[in-house]
Amino acid sequence: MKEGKPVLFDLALDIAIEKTKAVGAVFGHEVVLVRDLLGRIRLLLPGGSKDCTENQELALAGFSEELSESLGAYGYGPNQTVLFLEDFLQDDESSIRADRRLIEQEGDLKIWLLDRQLVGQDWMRSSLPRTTVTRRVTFFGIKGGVGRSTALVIWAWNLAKKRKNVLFFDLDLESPGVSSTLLPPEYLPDYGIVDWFVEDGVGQGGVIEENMVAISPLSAELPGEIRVVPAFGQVAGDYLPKLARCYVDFTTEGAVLWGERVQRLVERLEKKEKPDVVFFDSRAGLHDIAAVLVTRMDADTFLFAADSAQTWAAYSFLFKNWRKHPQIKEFRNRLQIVAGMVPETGREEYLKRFREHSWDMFREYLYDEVQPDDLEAFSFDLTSEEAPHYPLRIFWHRALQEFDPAVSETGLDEKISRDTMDDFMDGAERIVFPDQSGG
Amino acid sequence: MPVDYRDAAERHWKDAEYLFSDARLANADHLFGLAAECALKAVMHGLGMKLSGDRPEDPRYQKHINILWSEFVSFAASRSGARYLNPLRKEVNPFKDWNVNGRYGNGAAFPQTTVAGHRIGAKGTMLALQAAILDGVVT
Repeated sequence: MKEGKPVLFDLALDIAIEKTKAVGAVFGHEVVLVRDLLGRIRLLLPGGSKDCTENQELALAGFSEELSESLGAYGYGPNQTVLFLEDFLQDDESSIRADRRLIEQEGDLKIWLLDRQLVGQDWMRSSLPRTTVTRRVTFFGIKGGVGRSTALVIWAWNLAKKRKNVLFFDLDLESPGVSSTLLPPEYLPDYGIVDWFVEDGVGQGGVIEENMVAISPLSAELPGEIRVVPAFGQVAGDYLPKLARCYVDFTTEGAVLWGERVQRLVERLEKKEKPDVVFFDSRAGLHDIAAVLVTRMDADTFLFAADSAQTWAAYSFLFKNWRKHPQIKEFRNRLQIVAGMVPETGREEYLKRFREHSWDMFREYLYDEVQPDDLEAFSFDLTSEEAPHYPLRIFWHRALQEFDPAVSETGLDEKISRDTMDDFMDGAERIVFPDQSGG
Repeated sequence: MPVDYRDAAERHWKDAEYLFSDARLANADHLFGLAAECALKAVMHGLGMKLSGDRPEDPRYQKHINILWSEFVSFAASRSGARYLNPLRKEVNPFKDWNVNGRYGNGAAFPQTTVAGHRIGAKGTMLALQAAILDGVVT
């Protein structure tokens, strides 16, 4: 490198885009920047090297040298800087087309990014096709400890009181536990979700599907039922070796993406159990499970948050990436912020700050910029109560922190659940059952 | 001669396809086997398999495709390796009945169905190789 100043990861992509724009459409109107597992970048051109004219070859040689040098540690050698699509088999071509995303367009030059990642690709992929129509809800928190699981349990209980059947999947596989709130150990079915993934891997998921759903005793006296698909079952065996195999992207039948496997599991149990609504408890944070459940499962997603700088910073990482999501318009209206554990004192002030921080983030990354007369735009005022940034509220109460319905004789305390959760549950029901508001 | 598994895999594959399209099955079959071996060795080398001179250091990997396929399946069972198992589809070795000594045999002993099976197997290894190239694992 000429200047001797190292190029770091973030800068490398900007450099590659600028250099590619500078040569314009000499190499065709569609170029793909391939960023490899280490972040190194090179160019993938349509056609083959033999198709190049003399001029193009000359331009290519100069370009390769320049890109290679300017990217520093994130460059390949000049001879390795350009790949040709023709050198790839057709199957590869179609997967490249499916996974690349448009990052820059200038005139008739389109620059795409093919981001090769070890994990996390699902955050940027489109919805998975599905064959069922059950309403689905994902409970997600960018950080743990904001009352996500408690809210889920109490809402499920309230829905069961209103004759709704809830099918709940405990997909927090790395810290399984919500299912134990709903299902004391003696109620667990024989098997759980980790068992299904390993058995499905060798083509026998069907063998355990009859024994991986149990009815929560919490709904025993209620007109509706809460059915639980726990992470593990009575026959827990060795949890860790099974967990370690859950995320495999293939089975003995061939390659199948992890998200597609989740969809298969959920659809099979939806068809068998016929619930009114499906709940997913998602792993917190930027985990692959969350990536699938939040953006790919056709679910309404509740984003739990506390008003803290760390929370907004972490959500912003995600939202910033989503701004470039090719299907953002399809799922941004399925997101809803939830203020979990709103403190007892200074509530109004706390919520005001929360709302402003939430609005700032949605405005910056997900809302459309609007002209005054643009009625179609996806954009909301700070105080618009139906806006995704306007929090559904759950109020902190000591009893909620110690809440364990499985050991309580009387089930849930109606009053406490009403005082703390009504705002959340009313809002959530308007979103999830829009045709039955008032429930 | 220094080894270049990637280049070797690509030229064996192209020549095999050329022969296969002209129904010259015996030699196509030979080259599908060699292409698959070189493609897997290229990926393994990229994932850290050590070489000693012009061959893998570990004797378990100094094998042709009829043996190497299963070795690859265990070799690649790591966080960054498992993704190259996807394109192999069935984990049953499609080259079980392939033998490098086929080159000494009579050309009539290579029925279309056998060769077509080896071609599918070789294609899977080429897809694994190409994924590894995009990933920067094989350069």
